[in-house]
Amino acid sequence: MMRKGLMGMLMLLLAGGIAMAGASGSWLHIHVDEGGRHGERVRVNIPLSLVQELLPLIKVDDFDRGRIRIDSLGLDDEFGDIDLEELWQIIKDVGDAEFIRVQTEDNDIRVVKEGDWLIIQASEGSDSEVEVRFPLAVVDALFSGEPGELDLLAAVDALAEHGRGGDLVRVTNGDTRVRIWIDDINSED
Amino acid sequence: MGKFLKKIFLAFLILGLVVVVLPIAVGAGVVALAYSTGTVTVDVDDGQGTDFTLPLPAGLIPMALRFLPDEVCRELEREVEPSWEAVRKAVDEMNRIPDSVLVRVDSGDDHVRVVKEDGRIVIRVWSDDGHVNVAIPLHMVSAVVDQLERACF
Repeated sequence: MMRKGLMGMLMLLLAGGIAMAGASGSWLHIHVDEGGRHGERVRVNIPLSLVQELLPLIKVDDFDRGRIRIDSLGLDDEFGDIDLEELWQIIKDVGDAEFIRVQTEDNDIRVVKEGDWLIIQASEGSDSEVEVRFPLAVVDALFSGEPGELDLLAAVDALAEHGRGGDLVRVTNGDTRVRIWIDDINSED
Repeated sequence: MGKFLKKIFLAFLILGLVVVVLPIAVGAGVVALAYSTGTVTVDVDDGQGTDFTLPLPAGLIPMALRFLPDEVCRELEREVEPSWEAVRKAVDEMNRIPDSVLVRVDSGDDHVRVVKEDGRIVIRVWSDDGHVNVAIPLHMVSAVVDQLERACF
């Protein structure tokens, strides 16, 4: 059950990640820094309005007008009997809490609700860490469409409104660091 | 005899006009077009002898598309038409956003920049060995989109 719950959380995360794709005046920033003298540095600055305009026009298989069918994501094998929308309603109505904690010798995974944020933290060993933070409003917006659908467009709007305030994604793996965040600044740093 | 000389003179005058004036007029037209519509610039230096800068009047490209063969149009209609609205929106949006560095990659001595700058999309790739710079006026891209739409869809 715990594993299925975790997979459900990760799915929400994935859908929210796709939703980081639109909002007028906002910019999505992706920074990748490899360590070392010849390490690669990548900066991507995307005007979210661009994706906001394009998202409704994309029609591929089960993705149509900014919405995607949950059952098209091929997750039945992992948690076919879990209703993601229902799971989200339960999480949303609970106060701040640590919902999931999986600790093994090398790994530590936490899913936490903290104020208006859903936070997922995972670490492996001493030099690999991932932290993903989503405003609750974004996940709420994802499930605001028809039953069985994820409304990415609505999530994008919610992200624009609530997504500022720190890194949305932070990954550290050895010398490599990745950051993703949203703000109103169109500069590279 | 006088009439014959007049005809010869007229023939040389017409020939002179064709050989001298026409190229000048075309050249002036191209320069005027370049000034009025901007230029697509390709600048290459591979550090091994290839070194050139090629400025093309941006207005020429949509004009050239008027002569697009029907079969190319049909191919475009089949392949691109379903995504055409997305293409148009993307171009419109790129026109709208402020000047910015969209992509920056630095890897050792290799560097890439994709920048929106003065109404152009500029792609710069360089290393110690050389560089490639391409600058494309966005209004030209809009004009190409308009022209293709008129011609093919």
